[in-house]
Amino acid sequence: MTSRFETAEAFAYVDNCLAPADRRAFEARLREDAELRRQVGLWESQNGAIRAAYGAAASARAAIDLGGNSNENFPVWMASAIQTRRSAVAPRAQTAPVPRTPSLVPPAPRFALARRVLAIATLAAGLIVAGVPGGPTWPRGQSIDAGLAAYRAFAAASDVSVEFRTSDPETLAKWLTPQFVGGIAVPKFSSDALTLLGGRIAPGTTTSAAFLVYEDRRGERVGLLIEPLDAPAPTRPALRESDGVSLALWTDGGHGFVAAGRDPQDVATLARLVDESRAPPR
Amino acid sequence: MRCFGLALVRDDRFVCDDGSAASLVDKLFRQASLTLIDDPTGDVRSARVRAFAQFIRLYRRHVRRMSADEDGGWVEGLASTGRASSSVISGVRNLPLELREALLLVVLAGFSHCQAAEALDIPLAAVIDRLGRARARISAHMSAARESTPREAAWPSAAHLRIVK
Repeated sequence: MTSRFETAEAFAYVDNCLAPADRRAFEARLREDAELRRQVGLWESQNGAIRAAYGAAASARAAIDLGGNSNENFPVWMASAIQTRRSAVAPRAQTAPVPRTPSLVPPAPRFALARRVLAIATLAAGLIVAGVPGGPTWPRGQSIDAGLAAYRAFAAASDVSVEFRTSDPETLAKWLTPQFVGGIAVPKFSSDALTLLGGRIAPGTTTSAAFLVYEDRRGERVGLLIEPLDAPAPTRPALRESDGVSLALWTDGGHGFVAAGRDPQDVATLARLVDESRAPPR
Repeated sequence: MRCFGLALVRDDRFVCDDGSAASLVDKLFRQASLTLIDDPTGDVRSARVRAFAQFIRLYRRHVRRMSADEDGGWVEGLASTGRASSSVISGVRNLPLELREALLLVVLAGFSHCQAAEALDIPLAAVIDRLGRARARISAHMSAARESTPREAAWPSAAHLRIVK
């Protein structure tokens, strides 16, 4: 085993990343090459020792032996947890794009009920252990709580004054930016539907956040909490309602955004305007 | 994922006990869960990769902050206390973060090399390179642990002590 390609192939074999045909071919080579066999055995024992030391299931190879795609050892509880957390339910077939070959030993029917009970218990335990807030349905999450609390404290009543009153996003950005280590992205848009009233610093989920207050034509206030995050993957605005307050939550450009207001249309409008103002020019 | 998180954050440098590791992992999970919200376009596998990727990003940020706070009071490379329950665990904990995350993603989390590359946002060749270096380091560490005397293995040298201002 001298070339990088051979090493990569050996790693792929050890880590169950080879397609079944390639795997069989590699195993044929293993039978002929004692040095390769010794090295692969060493790595496999190392993998097994790491899994055993950290208590991981050492059955990672079982999924491969059934003829499935490589690395299909995704725990069932995790798939179910993520799947049920979505509001839009995806077709079941999407979770298993590669058809598996039928098992040679069919499961005994008398264990079907026990399996279901075990699966439900595993799912529940998995959700608890993984620290997923809110259960399998929509998780309000800390960001929602932070946005909700900021809205109730600083924007729900029209007589609460904002800390820094301005209708100019540039001026507000100049005031806010030095107060954040990595800067803060103040959305700059002009719209007749919503007018900027000002902003303030509010508690975020893990650090301080900027809280911007807008007003619609009827004088109804809408709040926007912006918290710097560590470059999360961008997500589209998702509208929700909690305790009579409409919310929109999304992440973009290293920031988490939570828009909150009593009028769902205002919240949706604010989310759309902010999203469009941050979109790259076409 | 929790198993992966506990293995990643427990490094005897910033997180030196299991309780702290568990609380840090829970905190990072809660933050990472933000990215799991409502993405009807992605399938379960991509959601899982995104969740791990976000967890890793958050942990890197945590490490950067902790490193900045340390202000030179710690000597890199002397992090091992020798009190790990096995030489494998201490070998993993002694790995640099970039090697540790690649190895644990593949071995513990069961990611394929391509998925690990996607989660770490690095090329596939870099993942394979990191895996090779991580495995070589662990092998060397285990060999050294076998050759060391029982007294040395049981009690760390004084150089690991952290300087407290």
